[in-house]
Amino acid sequence: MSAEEIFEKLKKSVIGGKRKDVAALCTEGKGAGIAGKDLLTKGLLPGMEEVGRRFRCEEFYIPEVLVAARAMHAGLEILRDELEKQPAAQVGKVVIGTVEGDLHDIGKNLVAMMFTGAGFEVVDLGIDVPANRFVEAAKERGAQAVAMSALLTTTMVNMEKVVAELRKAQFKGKIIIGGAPVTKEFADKIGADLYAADASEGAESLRAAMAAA
Amino acid sequence: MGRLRLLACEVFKREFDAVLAGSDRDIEVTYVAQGLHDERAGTMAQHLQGHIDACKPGEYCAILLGYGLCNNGIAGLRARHTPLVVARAHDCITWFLGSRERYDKIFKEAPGSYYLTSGWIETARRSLESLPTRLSGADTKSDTYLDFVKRFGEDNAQFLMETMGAWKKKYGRMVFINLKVGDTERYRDYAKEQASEREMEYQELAGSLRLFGGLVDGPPWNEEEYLVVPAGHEIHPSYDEQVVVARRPTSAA
Repeated sequence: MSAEEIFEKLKKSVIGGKRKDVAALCTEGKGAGIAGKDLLTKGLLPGMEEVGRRFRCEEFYIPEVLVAARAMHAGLEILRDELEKQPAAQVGKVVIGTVEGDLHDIGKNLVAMMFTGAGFEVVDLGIDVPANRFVEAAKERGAQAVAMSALLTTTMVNMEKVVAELRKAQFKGKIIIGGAPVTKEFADKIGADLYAADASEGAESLRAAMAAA
Repeated sequence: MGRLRLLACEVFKREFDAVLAGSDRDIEVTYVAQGLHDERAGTMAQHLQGHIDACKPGEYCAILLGYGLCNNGIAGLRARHTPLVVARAHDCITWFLGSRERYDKIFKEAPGSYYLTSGWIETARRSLESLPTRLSGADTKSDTYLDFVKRFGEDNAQFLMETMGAWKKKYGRMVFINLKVGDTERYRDYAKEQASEREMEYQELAGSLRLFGGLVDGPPWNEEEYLVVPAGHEIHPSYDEQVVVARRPTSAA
């Protein structure tokens, strides 16, 4: 198979959520001497971008995105060693979590997977994360961004406290928020830097913001 | 007092029927299918706006909404010529417990609680299907699982059931809110059974019909507890303890 064929098949397999095929194609590509970075940027990521596009057009729903992200991860696992040798590929470190009082993590995990796919190093704090843990983790890990999620209108208000405490602690990175009830208007109101309507948009807009910073 | 129109989620049927049985108000009621807020953003508002727009000017003195903010499901709803009235509630739990303050307090004590009422079990018990039992894991006979297998294969289907149901494993408490409507005995047993199958702690709380009663008793409505949306205004989330506010629309529609 030519490199182009492998990229094309990788893309299709990510879109179709074919985890085993993605892993096999990455192994085959590596064996054929194709750079891990190329398998990532010409195969896996274009596949995931297409998934993001379909999700926004309502052709895909959460299950399709989840299986695609899982397939992409199977590929990343194969490429991990090689990619980690190239620190230039790392676009930044992001601390992510679901805010205090909220136990939901499907969306947050999806965003974390998208961040990883986009080249971020992700520090996942899990669910029900109090404001001080976001601040501590961002400081200790030297993160360039903090990402917060909430599924409930009752808990999204806790994001405001996290933003305030991060600012108080002189956190200079980007703060990005999302989750079903969250809106751009709310992000502006609480002083978050970025709002993302869905997981793929989150990764893209954070990458763009970091590149601009 | 003038005629009222009530549009309410079907999970509230028993409660509204109970308060209306003791009321002499002239009221036209429609119960709307539960689960609209699980649809894509805008579906629920669109559906409800259709019902609101079907009301003629002067036909009713107010259109009452038996809803919470429901994941922004009512955000953007517009009062055309007749005011809309809705409780300042995030979701149905506030309605069932009788006040925002009580819900806030109970929520903070144990965020990982799954709430059931007789009416909810009657109309929405299928939502429990994806709540994994600790004895059996994800229910491999459920329609959701079979649908996933068909679309994504068995390996992915198991992953999806696990991933999409994972948050519910963190729910350690099953709360039956007893509103003394419907077949309480039967549904209490059901709630207990569901809790024990999942090794969740079972708790029963007394419910309250006061927010239901207060809605159909107006005008006037206590503005601390209900939002009255004047003609030409829209419902928006307020992102504070008010929960919802009425605003003039920024775009014409």
